[in-house]
Amino acid sequence: MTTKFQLPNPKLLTGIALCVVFTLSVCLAAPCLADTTDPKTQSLAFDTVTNQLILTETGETLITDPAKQPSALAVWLGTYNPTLGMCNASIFTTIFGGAFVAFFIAICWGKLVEIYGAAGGLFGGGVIVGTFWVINHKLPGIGIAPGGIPHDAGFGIYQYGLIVQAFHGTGPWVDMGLAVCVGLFTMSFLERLRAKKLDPTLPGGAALLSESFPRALSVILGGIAGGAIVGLIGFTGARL
Amino acid sequence: MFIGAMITGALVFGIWPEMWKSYGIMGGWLSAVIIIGLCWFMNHWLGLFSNPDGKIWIDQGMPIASAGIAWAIVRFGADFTDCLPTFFLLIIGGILGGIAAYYVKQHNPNFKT
Repeated sequence: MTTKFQLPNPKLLTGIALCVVFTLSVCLAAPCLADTTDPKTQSLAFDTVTNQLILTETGETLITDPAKQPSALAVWLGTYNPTLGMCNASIFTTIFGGAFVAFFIAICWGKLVEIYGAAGGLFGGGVIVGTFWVINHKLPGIGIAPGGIPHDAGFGIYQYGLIVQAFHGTGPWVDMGLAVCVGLFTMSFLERLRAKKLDPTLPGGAALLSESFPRALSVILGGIAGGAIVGLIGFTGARL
Repeated sequence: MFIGAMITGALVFGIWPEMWKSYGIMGGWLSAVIIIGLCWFMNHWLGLFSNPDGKIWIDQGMPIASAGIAWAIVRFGADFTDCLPTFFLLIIGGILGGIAAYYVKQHNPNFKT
């Protein structure tokens, strides 16, 4: 008995091809993601004659070890690193740190609540958010050097989480909650648009967005007020 | 919604940084159980956040994000523009995660209702 060879589903093949391309591009791009620029330093250049990274204003050589010289491609890719306050690798990890937590919460938390009710939601708060906090936001010197380990660049601290705060953490703190709320907003918006396709009597995209705007604004303002109130502790002289 | 958001923002940035400074990674993880779990119960389970059926979901991550920025500006005098790169990168990441979750929920039989 012979079995006829059948090609897999074209959709499955496309999916597999996309996965392969993505994985390969991440691996191959790794050498170009190195930290080639110092954030806030706007005048870096790569001297192709001496093969060295230099400060154009002073002519100072930043990296003298030939083995550690970034490629010209890496320097070119890092054109906007000083503006963004982070290197290429950090840009990449920040985007995917946000995408991971948004996807995980969008998929799992709702199911936990559906199955276990309030207990599932409380469990999800600790297990999902706590675990993703460790991968996204953990800081250097936790429990050992509470202020963080100072960065060699002369300002800010070293960061080890996926989500990198720009300019070595000297800017305001941007929490992964932003990615979560944007992810859930996007997912629920797309779901409603799909429902609208199936049932034209339902509200459309513009109506949904305008309806959500006052709700979003009130929670954003609430967050600003709450954060500012806690921030006032800094004026009491507390050195926590 | 405003009161729930305010308390959530205050709790997260009043407790979380001190917990990880004092107890390390376990302190940060434990903070999630205490703060996020309780705030979720108040905001989403008891319904302080208005999320009617068939509308766009407003999550408590939104006030946490805005509280983090306001907290750092008020407490440490940080420059608002310095947070914009991370801010926009996280929005891109969130959109990517949301789209991926949407497609998974459309095609995975476990999410069919």
